[in-house]
Order: sequence, then structure tokens, then C-alpha cells
Amino acid sequence: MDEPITRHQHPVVDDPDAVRDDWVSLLHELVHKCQSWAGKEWTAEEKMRPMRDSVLGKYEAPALFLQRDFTRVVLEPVARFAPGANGVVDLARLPTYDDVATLYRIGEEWKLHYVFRGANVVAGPRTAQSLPLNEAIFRRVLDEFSSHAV
Amino acid sequence: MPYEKLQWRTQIREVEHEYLNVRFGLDWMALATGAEVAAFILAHGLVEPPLGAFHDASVHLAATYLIRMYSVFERCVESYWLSWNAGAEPPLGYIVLDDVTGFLVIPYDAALAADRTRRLRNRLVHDNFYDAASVIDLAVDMSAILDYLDRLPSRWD
Repeated sequence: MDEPITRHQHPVVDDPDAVRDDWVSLLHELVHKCQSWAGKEWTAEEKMRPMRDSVLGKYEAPALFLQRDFTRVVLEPVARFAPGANGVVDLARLPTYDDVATLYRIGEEWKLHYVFRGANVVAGPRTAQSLPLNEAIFRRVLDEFSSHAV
Repeated sequence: MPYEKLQWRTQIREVEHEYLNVRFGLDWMALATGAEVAAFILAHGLVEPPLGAFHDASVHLAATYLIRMYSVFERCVESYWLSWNAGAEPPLGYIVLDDVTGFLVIPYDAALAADRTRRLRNRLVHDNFYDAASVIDLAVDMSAILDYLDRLPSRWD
């Protein structure tokens, strides 16, 4: 039986090494920005996370651990390739990962998708729930994580 | 009715736990001698199974449970698809998967791994179970569908 394959085409890149280096560099930039936005009340630690990608191969990418009181959060790279996005990063509350905001690299901009309390739970990343990532939004998500942790 | 991702994950895990129990039983039998099996059957008043099928039962076990596991996954993805296509008739499985992948911007590798499991499950159900069943690594396919499930929101209506 001839099964149809997913309609989302597997990404093809000419120079995977260059794409991987650009991606890791973008992640470093993102990690440093988020660390600065979190401010001094959050202790921060950057760590390299092993990654495996069917296009880019095995590599390491920066992740950021944040802690304030008993709230622990990780900013963690997920993948470089996704339909309509040039990168996916999770911002998740630890240890359960049940509270997750996702950052999508759309064009040259990071967009944050998070279901804030009371929002429509069905909304997808391409709806109005996607917000441009900035300090105010980032800190709002951290605050909401903190309030859920109590 | 709201759907909780955790409930779907739990159902998949429960299928895995059932599999591990049956796997344990079969492995136990495989380690026993014919005389031990016969003595066990006699001692406990059990009905002797058709032991000629023992080897096939062992080789095909993972495939049998993969079909059940994928069925939970498929219902989960379909229910999410319905959450923003209320009242619509869900299309074929691969279209539902593609729609959700696009809607949630699910990474290619996660989508491809889940799609690979879908194709494998379809080969088992619709094509040639015996050819496909012997090469299944349930842990790999379970990981593929759980990774995909991770990209769904915690809850939907």
C-alpha cells in the first residue's frame, strides 16, 4: 500500500554547517537577552544542550536556567526547522514542563506563544496569541510561571 | 468537554505498561523448559495454549501494542484538530497530522518521526502485518508519538 507522506517538505539546505552556526549564534543572542530581561532577581545559568537534527546533525546549543525562590524555568532550544518558522525554543517551568511558552523565529523576529490565564486554550501559534518577544512579555510569562508555582 | 494532554499521555503509558507485563510473561515462558511449562500448567490447572504460536506471539507482540498505542495518539490529535474545526468531519489521518503540525508549528523532525510511526501502523493494519511486525522497536515509536504530543497544548476544549 502506497502511503502518502507528510505534506510538510523536509528542509533542504546547501550548507548545514553555516545554518547550524547561525542558529547557535542566534540562540546565544536570545539567551543573553533573556538573561538580561529576567533581571537580578532571577539567578541564571547558561548550559549547552546536546541536540540532534536530521539536517544539521549532532551539535550543542545554549539553554538558560533561571531560578527565583522556588520557581525554576528553562529556556531550551527545540529545533531549527518547523513549518513556517526558522527556529523553535521552549520556555518551560521546571520540573514538570506543564507550563510552556514557545518562542518561534518568524522571519527575523522572535514571537512568543503562550496561553495566558483566561485565554482561549485552542489558539495556535499563528493566531493573535503570538506576541513579539520583548522584555515586558518575557517578564510577564515569568511572573505567571511564578504564580502557578505557588 | 475539555481534553487534558496528560490524560492522553497516561493512556499511552498504560498501553506500554500492559505491553511490558505481557512481554515479561512471554520472556519468562521463553526461559522455561518444556517440562517446566508442562508442570506449571498441571500444577495450576491451566489450559495449555497452542505453544506452536509461541514464537510468533513473541515476535509480533510489539506490533500488536503499537497499533493500540497509535490509536490513542490518533484520537488525541484528532480531538485537538476538532477543537478548531468544530462540527467538521476529520479528514484522513495524515491530513489531520499535517494540519496540526502546521497549526502548531511543530518541528519537522518531530512531525516526520510521528508520520513514520503512522505509516508503520498503517502497514501493520492495512498491508502486511507479518512483514512489518518483526522489525518494530516499540520504545522508538512510543517516543516519536510522545515527542509529538509534547508540542500540543496542555489542554483544549
